[in-house]
Amino acid sequence: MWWIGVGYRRELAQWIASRPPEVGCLEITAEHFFGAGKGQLRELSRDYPLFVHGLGLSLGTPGPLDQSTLDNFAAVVEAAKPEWISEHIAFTRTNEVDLGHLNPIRPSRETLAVLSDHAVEVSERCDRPLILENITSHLQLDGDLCETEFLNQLCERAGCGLLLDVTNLFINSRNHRFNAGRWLRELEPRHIIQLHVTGYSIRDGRWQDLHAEPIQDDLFELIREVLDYAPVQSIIIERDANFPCNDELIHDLKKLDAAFEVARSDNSVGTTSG
Amino acid sequence: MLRLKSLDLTTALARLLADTELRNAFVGDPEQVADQLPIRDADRDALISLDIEALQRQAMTLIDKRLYEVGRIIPQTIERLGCQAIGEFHRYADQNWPSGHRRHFDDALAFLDFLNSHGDRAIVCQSERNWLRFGVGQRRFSLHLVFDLMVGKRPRRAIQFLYRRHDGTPRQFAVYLSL
Repeated sequence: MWWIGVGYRRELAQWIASRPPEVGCLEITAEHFFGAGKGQLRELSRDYPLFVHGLGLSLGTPGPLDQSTLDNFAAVVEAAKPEWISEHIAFTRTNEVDLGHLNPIRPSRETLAVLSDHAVEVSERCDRPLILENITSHLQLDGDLCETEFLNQLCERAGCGLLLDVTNLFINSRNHRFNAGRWLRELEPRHIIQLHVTGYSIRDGRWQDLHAEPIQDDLFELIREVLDYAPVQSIIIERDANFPCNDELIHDLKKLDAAFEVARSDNSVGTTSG
Repeated sequence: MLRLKSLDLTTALARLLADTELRNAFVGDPEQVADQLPIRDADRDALISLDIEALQRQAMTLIDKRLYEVGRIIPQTIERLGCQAIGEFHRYADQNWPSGHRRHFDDALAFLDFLNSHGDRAIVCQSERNWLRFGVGQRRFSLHLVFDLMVGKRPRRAIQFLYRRHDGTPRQFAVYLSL
């Protein structure tokens, strides 16, 4: 069984309210519901399996987590009753400045300890499994672990899974010139629980994740590769700008469903014959 | 002599990303900035080996993402600014880093205040500012005479009435004084 859905956005609310059959689940951005809207979350949770996705817990910041943000996050989880929760392998703020968006952390043993301790704290506080997402960044920081080894150890140590953002992987592989397929195969497949995908943009010769484009064919190819490799349970389409007509989203949702179907049938054939 | 506490890489990187002046100094002499901060010995090599071009791009991306969010909140003012929007926002944003989950609204309001105090007041859409100030505040209702409430693509003179529903959600209605 697998879940395919979209990131819940105000611009898509009316369409989602019509219960399109292609939407099998929803991902809620926790910060969008920090103030009000808990009633709406409870209603959505009656219609769809939900996932709660955080942007601002800043798990990679050394020192204690911001308790106010964690309280707000936990309140959203309580209202939404999600299957699991997710956050980023990144930092967004320090105790001096809130940068507001995701920034890379150093793949080191020291950072691993910070991040995994924070991950365990969030998961225990919310009483939900936590999965962590790879980000895209112009900056690459040197550490004593390579990125994939860092991710594998993080999942082991924190007892969490990976939310593999296929678009971020694709973009990083282009901007930082590495092979996405090889990178993927360095990960433990069992850690990869969910995928994010959105179309990439290209500006000034650089690949970017503006969440504003339809999903391109080379991304679908990479998704198929991931589905062949790992026991993924869910895919979420993210869109934050240039909201498409519903037909375009439906088309992409169907295409993802077909990719799941093929990967699962291929894997079951392999299992039977093997 | 007092010794400053050494910074970890994350804190040092955040300072570089948020502070153009410091970043420019780093571009000129990374080792001197590493000493000035000062950075922990364990993180020093990682800091001074940062790719300068990538650091600048990351810093610009952070501000561009803020501008995008602000543009969704105050579209009329951003449209009035036209091609000056990016430059004005960068001039403002480097000195202002709002925090918390309502930071995009705080950012938009602070940018409007910045434009009011540094630029041409006429560039700020006052009805948009009223709506935003009301939204981030606690008042139950508010009344304004405005000259730029948009009907379609045209600004109209109107009485703008802002109120809050029982669940706290802000709402507005307007009485147009001329068409």
